[in-house]
Amino acid sequence: MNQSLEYRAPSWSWASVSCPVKYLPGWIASPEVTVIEAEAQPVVERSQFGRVSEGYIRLNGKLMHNLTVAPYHGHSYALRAYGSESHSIAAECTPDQLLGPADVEPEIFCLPLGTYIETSRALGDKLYVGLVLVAHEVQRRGYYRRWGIFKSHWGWFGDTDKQAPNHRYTNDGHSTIVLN
Amino acid sequence: MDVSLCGDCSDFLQSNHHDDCYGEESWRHFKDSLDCERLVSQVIQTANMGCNVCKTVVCKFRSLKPDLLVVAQKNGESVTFRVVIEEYYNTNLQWLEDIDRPFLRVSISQEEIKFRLWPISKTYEADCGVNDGDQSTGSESSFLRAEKWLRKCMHNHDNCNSVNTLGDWAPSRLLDIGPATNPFPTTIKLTKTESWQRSVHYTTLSHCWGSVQPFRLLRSNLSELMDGIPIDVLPKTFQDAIYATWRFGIQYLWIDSLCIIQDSKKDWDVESSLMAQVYGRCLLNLAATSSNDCTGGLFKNRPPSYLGSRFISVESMTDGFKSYYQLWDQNVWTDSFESAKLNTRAWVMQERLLSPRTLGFAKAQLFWECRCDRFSEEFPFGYPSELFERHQRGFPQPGIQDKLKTHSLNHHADSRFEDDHARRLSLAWHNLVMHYSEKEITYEQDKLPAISGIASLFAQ
Repeated sequence: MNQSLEYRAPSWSWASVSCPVKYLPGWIASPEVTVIEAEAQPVVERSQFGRVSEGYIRLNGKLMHNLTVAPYHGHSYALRAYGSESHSIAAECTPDQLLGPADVEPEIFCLPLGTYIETSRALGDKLYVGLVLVAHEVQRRGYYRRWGIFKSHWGWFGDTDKQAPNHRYTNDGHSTIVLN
Repeated sequence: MDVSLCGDCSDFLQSNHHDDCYGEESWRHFKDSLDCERLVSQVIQTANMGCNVCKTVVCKFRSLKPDLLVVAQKNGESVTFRVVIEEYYNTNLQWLEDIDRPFLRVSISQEEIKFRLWPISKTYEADCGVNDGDQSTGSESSFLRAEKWLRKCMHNHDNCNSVNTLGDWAPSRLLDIGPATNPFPTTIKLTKTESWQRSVHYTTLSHCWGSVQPFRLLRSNLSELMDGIPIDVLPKTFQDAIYATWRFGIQYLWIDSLCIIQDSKKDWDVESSLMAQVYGRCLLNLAATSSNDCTGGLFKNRPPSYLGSRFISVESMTDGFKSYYQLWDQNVWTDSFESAKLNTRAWVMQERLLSPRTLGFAKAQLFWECRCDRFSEEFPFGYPSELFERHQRGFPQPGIQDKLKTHSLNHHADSRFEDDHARRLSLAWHNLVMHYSEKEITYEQDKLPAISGIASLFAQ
């Protein structure tokens, strides 16, 4: 899980990390997000599939906040509601980059993607999956980058105290955010 | 075909091979055996006398743990032989039936080795063992085998013979080694193809640059190389690639370091974005599988541990019918080809997947893979794969299966979405990215360019 110093790809892309990546072997049912547009800017105009200088996904979704993350066990982090007792874990989270001992815990947001159907198993427990985001370094309303993913066995996305307020989305419409 | 067995192996296999009936059909098959113990010293002796099973066993133990046999022989230990039937089924690919797969398990104290007893038809006339004059992977008999694979593929495989719909096209530069009817050349030429207006047959080379800087095309030596390059100034891998190209009767060869100007950013950007065409349209991709840099060459002397094909026959005790099997070490493809350094390189992945046919010059034998088939010198009539794997390899990928070798891209293939084109394609892409992300890359900025050729095909 190493992010390179030189820009290679947007944070939501497999190409932004220099470690082996894994896709969950299945698909998302009843998606909670709608992609409005996605684009990447090639460095050399004629090699469309080569290097990129930037890229974004603009999407509609439900942003959750008032959440904290802390190392749980191994590479797995626990996602909890802000101020809640330590036992109530809202979701298990896998960060793209582990927090170092000196790192300040970031302010994180969650973007539920939907329920996950695993290919290699018969339908079993419902598993909710989504992205863990942080606000973009360059403060811009509604802009985020990927910090990790989360999995949860129950959907807590209806909880009103965890809904992010309007100013966490972009100006240009309801529940729109941009991922870089 | 050489089916020599010692008396002990012959008796052991025969007594565990049964004649049954399956309706009208006679069904001859192995069943689980009891342990058969033989002294290590005896097995070494029968191996030296040429028993195919004992030879294989001794050789495998030697390559795993060199001193195991010596110690075991001194201590008077024995070798345990056992036939084991492993049932195999997968509930997810619903058309699969359970099948019984016979294995030969052989152990000495705690060490165990295992071979699949792979049933074959007796129609294999050719002796596929190692002969005199066959000690190198560049030998005439290796080329004759590879030529058969090439001919078979060019005549029979629709997917391997289809090219992207660009019409006439040739890479911007090619190495011209002269008409194949000429004797083997002493010089070759770099040629520009811009005025050709036609497609030509050419081979490509997949190789590791490694720590040795290969001979390169630079702005300063462009005109010199177009006048002629003496073959003996080129590194061994390039020389061998020229020989192989000539030997297959092909006039042109494409090598990255000689066909892309290495100190021109502009040339590099343009040419590196054309990999889907360069590799996709070659007749054959020559892979320097056993070399870590350009000095290693393609051709190697086979190590003594390579025994060629090991056939066995089992005669029915009731009617004398002979069943034939081949001993299959199921790790061979992975250990000798897949995990070779060349195939761990990020750039090489698209060279391998895009080219319709790759001939891998590994340490002990040649490996062949095309969009439809796999061969190795040990399995010259088709490299075996288990039923489940065959279904996965053959999982339909319309739209890309005639542009890419897709068989490694179907993990988690699910009959539930066989008709869902988009999901099938995204499965293949995800598998591709997962494999690719494990590969090694020298310059992290190449991460997207080194897979852009394949990406452009998925985008079509």
